[in-house]
Amino acid sequence: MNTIETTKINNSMKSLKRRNAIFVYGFLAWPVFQWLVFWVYPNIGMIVDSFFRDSVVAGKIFVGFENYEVIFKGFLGQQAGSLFTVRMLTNTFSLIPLTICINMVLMIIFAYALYKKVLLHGFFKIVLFLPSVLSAVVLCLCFKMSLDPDVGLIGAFIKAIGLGGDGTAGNMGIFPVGGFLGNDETVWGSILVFNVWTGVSGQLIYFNSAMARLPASVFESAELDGATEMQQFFKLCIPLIFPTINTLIISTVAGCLSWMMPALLLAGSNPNASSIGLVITQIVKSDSKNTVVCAFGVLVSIVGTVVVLTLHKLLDKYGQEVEY
Amino acid sequence: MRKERCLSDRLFRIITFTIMTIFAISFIGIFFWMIFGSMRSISGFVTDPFNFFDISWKSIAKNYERAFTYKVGGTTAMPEMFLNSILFIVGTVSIGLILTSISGYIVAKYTFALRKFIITINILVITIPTVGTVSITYRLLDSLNLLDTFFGVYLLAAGGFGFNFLLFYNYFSAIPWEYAESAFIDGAGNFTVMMKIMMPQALPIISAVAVVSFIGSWNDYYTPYMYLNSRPTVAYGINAIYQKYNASMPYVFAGMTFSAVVSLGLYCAFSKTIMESMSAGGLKG
Repeated sequence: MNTIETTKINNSMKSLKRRNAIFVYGFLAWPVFQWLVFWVYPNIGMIVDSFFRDSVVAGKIFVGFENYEVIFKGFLGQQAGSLFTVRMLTNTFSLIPLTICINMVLMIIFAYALYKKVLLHGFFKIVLFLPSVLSAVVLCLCFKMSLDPDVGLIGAFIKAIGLGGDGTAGNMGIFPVGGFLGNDETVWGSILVFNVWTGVSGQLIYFNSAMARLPASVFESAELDGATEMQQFFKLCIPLIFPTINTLIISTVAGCLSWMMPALLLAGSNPNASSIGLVITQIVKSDSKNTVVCAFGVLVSIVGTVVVLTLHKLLDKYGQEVEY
Repeated sequence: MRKERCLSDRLFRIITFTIMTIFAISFIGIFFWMIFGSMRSISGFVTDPFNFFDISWKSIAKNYERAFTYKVGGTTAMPEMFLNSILFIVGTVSIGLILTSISGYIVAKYTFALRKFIITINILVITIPTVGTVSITYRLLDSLNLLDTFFGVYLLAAGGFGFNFLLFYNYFSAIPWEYAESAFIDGAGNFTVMMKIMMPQALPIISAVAVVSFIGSWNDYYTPYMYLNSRPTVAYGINAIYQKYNASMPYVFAGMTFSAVVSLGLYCAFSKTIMESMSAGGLKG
């Protein structure tokens, strides 16, 4: 009788395991399949294609490292009219410290101020959220129009206070030739200003929700012990939301590499305003069989992964994971 | 009882309040410039940019009529662009939400042979930037005849991995398994437990992810630009109107105001849910 009971238990455990397996693998089958088709295949295809040249006429031809040479020649300035410029790299990689050191810092400070219920915090919660509600395209175009000296709020204001000239020929103006977005020197700076202006709204919701989940008792007891709000900020709040900061920094870096929309809408094809994302998009749109962009994608993936991993290691080393 | 604050705290509050006010004023200012601009005549707008109030019914009618009847690419007008936006956003967000939440739940709660593999997949997806694969993805969709279709875009969004997977994984890991166990004893199957017991408990994180995904999709210019050209969304359409009418900004403002009013309306309708979900869902590690 023991063997019959043991067999019954074994059988029901087997069928339980089988039911679980059907459930687990059944629901995970599609995500894994989609991953293979839309992540693994494009990545492998990109690596493979980077060594070929493709055209409607001649089909695929193996060209070795020729595509990579084209890219590096562009960087070294040996190829006139190349889209691969050092400027593109410096622009894109200047976004990363900007978003982290200015945007994210501002967002954390704002979120903390809202958490500590600064004056009018309810009003601010709504208004600071406004850029996310208005489409990013709308903000871009409004910003662009604002700088116009004739009709834009900012441009007309500058003109009205007498600084509407371009600073040459003895006039007192600060308005650059061609406008802030048309002038080669100022176009990227203007785009950075736009980024900071709209950037504070983007991940604010994550910081708000992270802080809202913090145990109020910790802060209350700190206050009873005499800690100021600034001390609470640096010694309590930041360490407690550090995992959030960690994850958002990583996602920001990935976002910077594909960032292109403001540059596209604000500056068009001005080479001083190019970025990695913009160059890739322009090439693919104009010639979908282009394989130089695949080689470039490989390089970006390698560099990007190194940057992300390094950041991750640094953040893990210097940040403390606090359990609560 | 008024709280006594030390000097550094008061300084912090004053400075932060000032900076936030500057941002707030700039956002509100642009917003009103846009709204009033959509109600003004073009000549008034061009000659005197600061006079917000020379609005007239005649201008309103003309501006909005222009914005609504302008056909992007010769075929699509504003109402249809809104429909495209809705189809795009609702489709991609709900598909992504369903798949990432289920995947996150299963990996968090079940042990199985390939579990470590799946977690590694997610790490790869998050760590390795795939900006350059757009070329291959573009050609892949083209060869499947899915370029320029909603179905193709939905397929791209139908992934179960990424940052959202991590959110759901962390959240479900922290939910106790006791309710599920008692349900299993009562004879419930895995699917029933997931849908009737676990998912309802995850409503806060689901709303948080939904809100953020909606915003991301609404602002997404890149995906429709690359993969959905013949079904322009509002974002794409407003830029097209701008290209054509940037000498007559009130027309463009009319289009912008309309899209802003709609999205603001939706935001107000859901603001209670948003505020509540902000205090419940969260990113952890």
